[in-house]
Amino acid sequence: MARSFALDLRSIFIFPSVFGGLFLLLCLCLFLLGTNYQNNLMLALCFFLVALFLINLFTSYLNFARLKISLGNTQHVYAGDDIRFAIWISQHSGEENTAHGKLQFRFWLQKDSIEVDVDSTQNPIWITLPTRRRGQYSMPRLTVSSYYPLGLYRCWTHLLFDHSTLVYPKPVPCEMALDYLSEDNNESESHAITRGHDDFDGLKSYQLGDPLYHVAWKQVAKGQGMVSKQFSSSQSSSGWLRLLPCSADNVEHKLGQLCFMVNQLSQQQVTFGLDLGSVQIAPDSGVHHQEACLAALATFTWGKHA
Amino acid sequence: MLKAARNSSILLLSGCFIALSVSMFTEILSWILILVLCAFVMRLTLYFEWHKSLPKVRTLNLLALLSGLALAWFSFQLGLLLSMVNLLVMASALKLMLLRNQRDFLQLVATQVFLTACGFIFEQSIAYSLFYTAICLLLLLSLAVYFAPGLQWRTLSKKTAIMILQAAPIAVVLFLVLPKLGPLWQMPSQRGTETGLSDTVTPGDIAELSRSAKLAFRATFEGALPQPQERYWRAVVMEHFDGKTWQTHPTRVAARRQYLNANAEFTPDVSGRSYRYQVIAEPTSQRYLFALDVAIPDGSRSNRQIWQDHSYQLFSRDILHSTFVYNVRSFPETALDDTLFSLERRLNLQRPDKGNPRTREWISELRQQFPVDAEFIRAVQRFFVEQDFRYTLQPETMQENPVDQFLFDKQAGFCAHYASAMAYALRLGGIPARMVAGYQGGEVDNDGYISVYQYDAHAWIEAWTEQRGWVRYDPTALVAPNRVMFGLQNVLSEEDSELVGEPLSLARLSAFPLFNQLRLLLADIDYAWSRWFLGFDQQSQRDMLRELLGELSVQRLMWLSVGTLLGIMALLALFFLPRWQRDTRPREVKAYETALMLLSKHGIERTAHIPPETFSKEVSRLCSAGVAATFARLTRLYINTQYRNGSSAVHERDAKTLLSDLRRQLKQQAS
Amino acid sequence: MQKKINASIDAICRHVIGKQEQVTLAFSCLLANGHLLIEDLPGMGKTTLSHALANVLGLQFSRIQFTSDLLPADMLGVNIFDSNEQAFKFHPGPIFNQLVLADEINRASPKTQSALLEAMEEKQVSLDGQTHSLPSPFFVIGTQNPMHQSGTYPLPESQLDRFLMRIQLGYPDWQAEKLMLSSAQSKTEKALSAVMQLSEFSQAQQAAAQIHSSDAVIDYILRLVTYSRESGKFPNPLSPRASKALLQASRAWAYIHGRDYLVPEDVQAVLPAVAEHRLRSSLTDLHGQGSLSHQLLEAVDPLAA
Repeated sequence: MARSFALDLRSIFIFPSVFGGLFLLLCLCLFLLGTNYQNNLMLALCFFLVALFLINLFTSYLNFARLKISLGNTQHVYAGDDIRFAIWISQHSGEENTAHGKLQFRFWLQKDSIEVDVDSTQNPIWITLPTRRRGQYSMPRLTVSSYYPLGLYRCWTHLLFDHSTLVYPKPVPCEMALDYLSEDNNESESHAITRGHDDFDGLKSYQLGDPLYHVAWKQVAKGQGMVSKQFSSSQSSSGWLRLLPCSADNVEHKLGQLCFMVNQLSQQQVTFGLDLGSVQIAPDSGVHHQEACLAALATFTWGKHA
Repeated sequence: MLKAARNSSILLLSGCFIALSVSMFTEILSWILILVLCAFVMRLTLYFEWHKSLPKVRTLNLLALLSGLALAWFSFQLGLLLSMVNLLVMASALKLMLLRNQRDFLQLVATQVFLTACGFIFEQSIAYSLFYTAICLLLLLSLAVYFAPGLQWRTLSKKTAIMILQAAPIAVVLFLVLPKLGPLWQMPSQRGTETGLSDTVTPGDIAELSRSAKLAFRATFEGALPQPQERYWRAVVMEHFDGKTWQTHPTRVAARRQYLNANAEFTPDVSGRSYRYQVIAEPTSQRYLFALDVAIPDGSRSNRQIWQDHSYQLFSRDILHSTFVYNVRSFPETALDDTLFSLERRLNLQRPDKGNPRTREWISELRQQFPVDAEFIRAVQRFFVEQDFRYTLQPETMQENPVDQFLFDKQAGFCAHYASAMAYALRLGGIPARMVAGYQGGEVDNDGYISVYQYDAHAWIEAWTEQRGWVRYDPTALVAPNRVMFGLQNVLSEEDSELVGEPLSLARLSAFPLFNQLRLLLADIDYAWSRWFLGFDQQSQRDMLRELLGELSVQRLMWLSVGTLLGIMALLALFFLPRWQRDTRPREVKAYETALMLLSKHGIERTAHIPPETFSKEVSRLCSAGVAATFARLTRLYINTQYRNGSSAVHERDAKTLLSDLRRQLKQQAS
Repeated sequence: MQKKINASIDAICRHVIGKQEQVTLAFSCLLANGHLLIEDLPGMGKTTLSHALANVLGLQFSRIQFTSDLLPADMLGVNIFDSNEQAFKFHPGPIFNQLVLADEINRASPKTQSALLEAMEEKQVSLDGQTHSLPSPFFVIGTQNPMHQSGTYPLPESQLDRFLMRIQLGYPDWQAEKLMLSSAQSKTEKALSAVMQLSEFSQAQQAAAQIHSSDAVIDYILRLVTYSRESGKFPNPLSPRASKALLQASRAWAYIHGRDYLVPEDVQAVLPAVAEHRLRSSLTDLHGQGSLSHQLLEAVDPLAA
């Protein structure tokens, strides 16, 4: 289960920070000065700072070891957008004390780190990762570090979450190119006449729950009681979105267009199927269908198409 | 980039910085203090967002350049140490104005801690030590605030305090056990801030002698204290007189250097009763020490650290940068050496050829009148008694022929005037004489130690005669005998006592018993502080370890170091190993958990998400009726205490007996 | 009171055979003063259950069939000009009943759905600047068909949250169905008579809300909720409203079972009904991933201090 890490001895690195080095240098200076001036106050201060340095090793480590870092769920994004990973910071259960101080989060090979103050931040913390291409992005190694309490040590750990997310192609606005199903080659597809809004079909007595604008007000005015009009329509037609044969450098553009169309059609609740050559998704509609189509577009590889 | 507005850590740091700088106002140039104030005000305005933008880097670079040049100019007067401190303060002030990122902040904190330590060079009294310690702790707090800005102040201070308290015992162990070293190399001292006696005296120049109430040294006696008239603490002997100024004779200085290089030491022959005492000297940045006549170093350590020259002056081998403790033994009945080498005779008869004509005339007349040395000296003394001389701390200046003016016109002055005039008179009369500066008197505290303050500073003379050798004469005592018997405050007029610092005024309140007690208590605390903390040196450390371990063999020292390491580790373990937490849960709950453990030993494991009631049913399915019934009762107790408002006291005994029942029944079931 | 409640539940169970648990859940949902969502295939007895509940408690009952062209006004009512009195007269819609069965709620347009949910939350209807309060008590029993169908508008998560519980009836077992079939003729005619008075029911409601909940149980609920938020396993973590609902429902359950205090069993019993629909991102695919609420239950130890 690598979606949550409770930090412990084995996973934490700790080393004096640059400031810690400076601090030790300061202690050395104080020692030399105190010895040369035979100044006990200075020596006492020096020893106190050394003792503090030692104490800090443990304070720093114990504070960091109280952390539990979990990964929340991630939204899929379109290429070019940033993936936002939700990180939940919590304490080890059963711990009376809580972790404090600022934490730095940084993805491996990324320059920028984000800084979060554990004491004043609401979960979750969002860490973004820029994307350039579509496809499967596995979450890179995340380095979490802390300088609490006095900045003398840097505690850090590398977390490799077992998590990947899909990056869909960037939608490219285009003309709708839905390949409609013709009735003759797809007899089985249900085209039953259902109650709809298009054609007037007849009158029936009003029932509780019937829409008011279906009430035949003329009849009501004539004193015939509440009567509703009945309409019928044929189901909106469905079709296929197809990836037409194209050159390798054009395929990303086409996929972007398909992505745009999938989103448009899903918004309009149109039933459609997706045909990428190697991958085919049967006509359907709804959120899940949209997700499936987008996933197929994201993971599509050019080689298979040929 | 650091947020400047509402950044408490920076404000705290700025506060520490300005407090630190102000506390060192005597050491720091006033224009640098103004710079510090500017930086502080700048941070204040940034904090409260009255002003939002930081000054431009270019502006500050220009300012830094100008300040640097100015400081370079002043540094010729300041000496190395003060220049360095001033440079640090100046650089910190500029950095504070410029503070932009984490690195700046951390550097500044480290610098402030270093400056705090520098403060200890200048001031070592309890009050200042506490002040600097507080500053240091606040600096740590500011660091803590920086690294955990979201934490509440109370929690944060508590956490920091815990850390500090944890570090303190380790620091104490390190302080006591780590071997103390002697000075590794010569450090620059503070020029112009040398305290205590100076090695030149120009009586005519000084219109007003303002005397501080700072402590000069303390002496702890074993046994009886010396009588007040015996308390002449010799410090500096001055043999060169140019008509105005007395100072240590250059020949004497050269001779001392020779002796020191040859490692030859003057050891007087002593006899008669003696006083043994320990002196805790405050830092003076000089080498001379204080002792009653005739003193020899007591003990091997003091022998090593102290040497004596032919003028009976004691010296420390190292400059007194901090409190210095030494043991001496004084033999008041021993006469000073009666042999006078020709060199010494020459030095002590030296006098300027010109100036002070009236004195010359008077002495030549007087000498003709009294050819015998002893009678001549008595005649000079009689002059001081018979004429209308007056003791004052505010004499008029006497620039031209100061001795003439003092003896015949003004006839008012303080000890240096009298000593100077008498020594000059004796030299004119052909009697070798010299001025001795030191302290006279001192305040006796309950615990058998004498505290000598700066206002006890005194000057007297020594004259050599064939019969008696060097003899001490104190012309001031002839004019104001109370000065010697009862101390300075008894001879001062109303306006004179204004000159003396605050604690003396407190001393004047000694008529009120409460104030006096308080004053003496403070003095006692201060004494303990200097003796046990500031004066804890190589020798004290060795004594302590010897008391602890017996003879200091290599093996024992090894054991000591191992023991220290183990001790520190034990302390760390005590601090950080998970504390044995007291179980405050009700007994039923504990009993239930024990029951669960018992069951799991017998192979009946509770799946983690099964609640008690359900588990009880499961147990009844799996176990014998007896076990099931007992466990059901335990479960009911648990539910009553945990989930119902059931009072737990009623069932206390039940839980225990049920648990033992359960043990028994489980055994039965197993067999 | 306990007897009356048990009698009511028994009466319903005699009517809806083999669904003891679901009936008790539904009853405790009403006892906790919450709305109920029933999700199942057609013909599983959703309407029967609603009817039975209404009859046993003596509540006025109405049924609204939701369709894609149903407008808010159709449900809430409309101001109609009365030619006799020369004034607009409010013509209350079917929602003005104590127990409303909103059938196939996901078929209606989002506009209508939100009108219903608003009414559920506010317990009143605002129309043309006039406010008409709904009868008290006011319960909505919504039904949904889980099978994926085109032209439906799945309730968004925010609105699913308004239903205190969501239950599934499922197929009856062999025994129950046999019993049902054999006694079919006699049962249909025999309408249920009210077992409980309305005043008695509201008394029970108040009593249920007073059930003692110890720190231990509240901590358990909090641990559950926190786990759902922090484990990363759940697409939609439980909201504070959910934890409140969980406590309310547990109290009602404990009350029905004759206890005046809460135990973890109560929480565990109601959790699937209270939390499952909140944990899921959409209502489809019930049978695919297994129950999220059971995963949640198994991950959290009720005893851990």
